[in-house]
Amino acid sequence: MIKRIVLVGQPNVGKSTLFNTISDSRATTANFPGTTNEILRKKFNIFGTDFDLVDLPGSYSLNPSDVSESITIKYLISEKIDLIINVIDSSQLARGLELTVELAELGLPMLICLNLIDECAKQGIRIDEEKLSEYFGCPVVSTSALFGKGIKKLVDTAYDLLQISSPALKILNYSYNTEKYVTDLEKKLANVTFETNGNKRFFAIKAIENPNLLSPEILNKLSEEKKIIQEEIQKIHRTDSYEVLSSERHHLAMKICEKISVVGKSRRQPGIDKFDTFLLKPPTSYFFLGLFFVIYFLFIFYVGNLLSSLADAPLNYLSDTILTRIENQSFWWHTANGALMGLKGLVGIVLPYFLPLVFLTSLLEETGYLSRVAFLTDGLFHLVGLHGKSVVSFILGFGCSIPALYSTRMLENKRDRLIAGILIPFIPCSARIAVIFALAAAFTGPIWAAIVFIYVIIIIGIIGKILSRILSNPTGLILEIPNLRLPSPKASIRKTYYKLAEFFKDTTLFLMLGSITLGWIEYLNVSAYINMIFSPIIKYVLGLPEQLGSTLVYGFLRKELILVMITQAMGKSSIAELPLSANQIIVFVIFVTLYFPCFTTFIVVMREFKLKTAVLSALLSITIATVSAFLFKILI
Amino acid sequence: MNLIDAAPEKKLKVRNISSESDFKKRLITIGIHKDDFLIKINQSKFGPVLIRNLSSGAAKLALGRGVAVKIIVEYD
Repeated sequence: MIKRIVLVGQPNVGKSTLFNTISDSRATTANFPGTTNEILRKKFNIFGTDFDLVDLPGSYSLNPSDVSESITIKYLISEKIDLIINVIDSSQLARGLELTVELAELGLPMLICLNLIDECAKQGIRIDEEKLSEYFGCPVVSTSALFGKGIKKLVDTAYDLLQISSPALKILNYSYNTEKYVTDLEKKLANVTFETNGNKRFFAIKAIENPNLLSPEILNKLSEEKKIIQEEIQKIHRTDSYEVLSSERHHLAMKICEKISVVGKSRRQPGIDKFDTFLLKPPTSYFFLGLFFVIYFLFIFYVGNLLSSLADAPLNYLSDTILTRIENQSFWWHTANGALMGLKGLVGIVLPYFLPLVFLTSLLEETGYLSRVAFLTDGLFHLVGLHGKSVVSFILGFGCSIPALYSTRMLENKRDRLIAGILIPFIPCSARIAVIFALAAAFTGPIWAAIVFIYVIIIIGIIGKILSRILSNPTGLILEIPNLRLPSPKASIRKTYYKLAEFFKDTTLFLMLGSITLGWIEYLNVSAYINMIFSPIIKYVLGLPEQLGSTLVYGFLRKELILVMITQAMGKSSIAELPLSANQIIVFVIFVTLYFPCFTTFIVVMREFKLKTAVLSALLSITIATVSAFLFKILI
Repeated sequence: MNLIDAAPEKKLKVRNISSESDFKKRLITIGIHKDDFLIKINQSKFGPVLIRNLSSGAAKLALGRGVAVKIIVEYD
């Protein structure tokens, strides 16, 4: 059976970079805490033997407080693990060791990897690896994953450890009273056999500080003693048992850190800290923030436009070449036409805008500036009941709702995730931005495109405010601001490529199937029936031509197809010839921008949240789209 | 006094985190404990508070005002 090595560490310690370096893979990395929010796996080979390498989402402790951390603890308890590589940011050793103490309690074979050792050296910190190894009874290797330093030694040490049956870890004792509570509970578990990872000591400790992690069987066994101990702790320390256990680990970690590290003169360039002050302190911080948003959106808009126009000719050529070889209007012609439309949408509309967005976001993530954007926009996000950490999801939302929805996993609490999950589909994605610009700007001038954007932002604000009132218990911002680093364009290009590959893998099937289905709808000529069904809303409420009903159904399957389908539906060959008034165009654009983005988004909302949430979100967006379009119809 | 009222660039000691369990857990998990030493980096009337935890490494931490108000500190 292939042995499994698992990377565990706190957020932003370079686990994913290490994962990429060891396995020669390309996981997404960033200088923003919580980038890895799913489990990454890859096979790799040491001395001719295959191993499974697993990268778990960053976790500050084994007491989960967000979805990503829950994924990590669940995996650590329930999956077969042969070796844990505990990755620590060596420049923040004391905090990192708190998790190491917990992992040692779990009792699985472990290897400590002191990563970012170059950053640590720059800060003038020297760590005694040997002493650290003595404390935990496991090997310690220093690395700089980004530059490949120490990786060979790490892999060799991991290989050697896997040849030993069960290397023993040392137990680190807590203070007298706490240690007594733990050993008392351990005795109670003497006859229990565990079907999961974790030993008696680990579960005894978790019974005191976080009983939610225990199986009902262990919980029953310890329920009375656990209650007595928790009450006793409360009486003595006047605080809950979680805080007491956590403080014990904190003090242990600080004590070890003091004993094994020496702080000398820092070699960090003072200029970087000064520049960081400019980025974080008003008024300069807001000047940079404004500049950031202007450059960010202009870059995406102009590069997107350029790429889109470059893609047009080859796509049209391909389409013409294929379609002329198939009998016109036959079943296969419609199937091929549907598939080609899908390809056109994907390569000609989504990709041109998504590419610069992902590249620029990756570059900014690398620098650490995105965390600073989250810090600076916190007040703004409070207006919609969220906090600054949501900024990444919202920025991604302008590219595509799907990666934006996935990124909500980094939000700690369910309420924030739910609000973000409902609001994100309202953010105009690149496909809808293309529709807004192509229709509103072409017919009515850029001012109306701007009005549509402002209106959507107001709508997002109102819905957010209402949702935050309904769903109480807001959480405040707690966000680590990583050190500024110089971006690596090479790493960003690589990351962009793999993010795009991941995006295409997730969405191409749905997009192509949707497009081919559209081809069949056309072949079967059922558009007239669809138009009839939707005519009460389209014709009477919104005052638009009945033929646009089927266009909106196509739009649900693929938003960017609206641009193509609207001309077909109206029997014209280009957008400029559409027999619609400027008012009708605005009403149509408002409706298209606000009603549920697309079928794939619906599936992702359902997967990430619940079917109920996806249905409610869809109904909410359709209602808001209808009311808004109607308001615009009567007001302009 | 709470973290919002504390002066910037002064060494502060955490006396207490006056909050309910989930919230307190998150703060403890991310590295703010009772008796830790902090330095508040920024002082603004709006927006989050920026601190540096001197006890557990040099990382900067942004705390929303609702969070900062619950951290009770004293000058060291």
